[in-house]
Amino acid sequence: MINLTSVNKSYRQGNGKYQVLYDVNLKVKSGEFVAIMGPSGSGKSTLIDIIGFLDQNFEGSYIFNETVVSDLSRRDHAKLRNRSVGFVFQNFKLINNQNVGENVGLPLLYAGVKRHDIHVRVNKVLDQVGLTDSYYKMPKNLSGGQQQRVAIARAIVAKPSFLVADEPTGALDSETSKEIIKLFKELNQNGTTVILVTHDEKVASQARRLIKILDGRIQSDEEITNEDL
Amino acid sequence: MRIYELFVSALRSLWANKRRSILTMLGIIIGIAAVITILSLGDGVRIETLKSLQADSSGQQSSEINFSKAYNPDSSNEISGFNDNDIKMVQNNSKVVKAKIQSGYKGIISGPGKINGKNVMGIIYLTTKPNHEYLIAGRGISKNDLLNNNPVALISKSIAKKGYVSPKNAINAGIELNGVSYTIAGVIEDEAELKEYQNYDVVVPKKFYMNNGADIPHDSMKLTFVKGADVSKETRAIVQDLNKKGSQHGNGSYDFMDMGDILKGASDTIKAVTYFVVAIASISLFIAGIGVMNMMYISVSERTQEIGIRMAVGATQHQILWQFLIEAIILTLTGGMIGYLSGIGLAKIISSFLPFKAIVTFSTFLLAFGTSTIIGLIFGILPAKTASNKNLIEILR
Ligand SMILES: Nc1ncnc2c1ncn2[C@@H]1O[C@H](COP(=O)(O)OP(=O)(O)O)[C@@H](O)[C@H]1O
Ligand SMILES: [Mg+2]
Repeated sequence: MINLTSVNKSYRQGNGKYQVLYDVNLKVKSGEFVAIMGPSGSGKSTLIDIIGFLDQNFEGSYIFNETVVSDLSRRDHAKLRNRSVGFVFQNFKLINNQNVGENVGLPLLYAGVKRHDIHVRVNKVLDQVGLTDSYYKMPKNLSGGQQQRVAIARAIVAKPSFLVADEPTGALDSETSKEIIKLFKELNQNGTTVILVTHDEKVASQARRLIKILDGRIQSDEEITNEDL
Repeated sequence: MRIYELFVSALRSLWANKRRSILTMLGIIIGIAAVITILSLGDGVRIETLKSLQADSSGQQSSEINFSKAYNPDSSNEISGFNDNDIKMVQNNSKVVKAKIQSGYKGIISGPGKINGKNVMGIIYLTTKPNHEYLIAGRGISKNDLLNNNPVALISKSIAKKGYVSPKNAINAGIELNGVSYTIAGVIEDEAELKEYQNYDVVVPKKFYMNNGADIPHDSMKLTFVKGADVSKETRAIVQDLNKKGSQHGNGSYDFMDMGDILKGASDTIKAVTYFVVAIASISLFIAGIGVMNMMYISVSERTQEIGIRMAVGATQHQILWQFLIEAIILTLTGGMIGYLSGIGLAKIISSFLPFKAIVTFSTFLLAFGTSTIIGLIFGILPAKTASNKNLIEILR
């Protein structure tokens, strides 16, 4: 499904260039549960932004299913983002003056789904992430864990091909982190592809495949067997 | 995304910043209100001008020709300005549908009289109130005279002299007007005049004069024209003909009040004021537009995170652009519509002090609607572009 070949990424810095990703090759099949680990500043976010269609500005080739991502217009890139990926951020990224239901329904709104259908679908997804009857609550009245559930609900509401999460437990205590990871695991078991970035060993160990990254280069890429738990 | 949703979200974000939105709208409101006020007044004058020339609801127009008699004390015959021949002549004009003689009585008429056997032509003031003005001998016409229908008259010094040599001798003597005898109660100055423009030399109670078979002479003619005729022009031509060949062309003059001319004066004044007001309002609207731009820039920078989130869930640049553009347009359009209503209100209030009514036309509505929409577009486009061109990765970091 996801196929990155010799992806390089550099930021312009003054007159020079500052390279963040070096020759990244990565394939992810449908249904996988992948964790990406690495120290701060190693390029995890940069990589996952490319994978999650947030960043189109890179060298190399990214083929998603049959689509050449780097060839897409900005508009088609946005459409692909809307339909094919769900993104979960470390700091939730909810619109604070809109209620939970509206936040969750946002991707469907941009997909052009009817208001009534959005409402029905949102309530269903809120059930799924354990936030039944929270449609009209405001994000600021929810705990961090609950807010992240809202963000996850938003990520899966449009039934994307895969889920991407950048340190989804980074702002949560360990107890809440466990619950959130459990939720990702459940989603994966129901067939959703999940790629998450973390620097928490415990979180990473829940995945089925672990990619380690250092200074913009993939160091290792291996299956996690159940015995490792 | 559905357009409806764009409007909903724009309204909500404007509502979330009520005070800022209202302050920003104020300039638009004032500018549009000023323009609508002056245009409604201008339309009022225009419609009034048309109406003044309109005879009936079918769109036929009318005008009125008056006859004023030259002063001639030796003329003995009762003079009516118009007769049947005049009507026939006037009806030769193909644009005239109807010509009707009517009384042009405005308080003073001229009529034949006899004093001590001598014929006089009097300019008679028919009074309905006690009259003691310009008295030089005898008494005036009292309330009792009016109540009791006394046949009394006041006459001018020169008529008195003509009949009885001196004003004193004339007192309590008689004068015959329209074949009826009156007692001369008093003598008045030759310079007696009504409202400083109409001289008269006989005063009698109106009721008595009318009750004794005296017709008020016809001295006006009402003309009705076919639809679309140039009433001013046609009437002017007819008046010229009458002054050459009319039945009384030797005894006075025919003329008409050109209402079109009078209202044209008012309309010219309003036109000049309109240019001035529109110029000022344009400046106001321009400054208001810059205010809108400023507010939208602030809004865009405050909502950078929101823009990032919307883009991250798949909003295209177009959708972000329209979100902010529609916000700006709703802001100016709301201001424009409030301004439109205030303008109408203001025009109605102002015109209650003027001799015509302010008129609200659909085109002024379109003008207010169009102008405020365009202001929103012009001054909203740059902030909206800024919002839609934001770099997603930069925002989300
Ligand atoms: N927009 C940017 N401009 C310049 N440098 C950047 C930008 N984004 C990230 N970087 C740099 O790229 C490197 C990798 O960043 P990032 O992918 O966020 O690392 P991680 O998520 O692994 O902590 C860091 O050194 C960071 O400073
Ligand atoms: Mg990071």
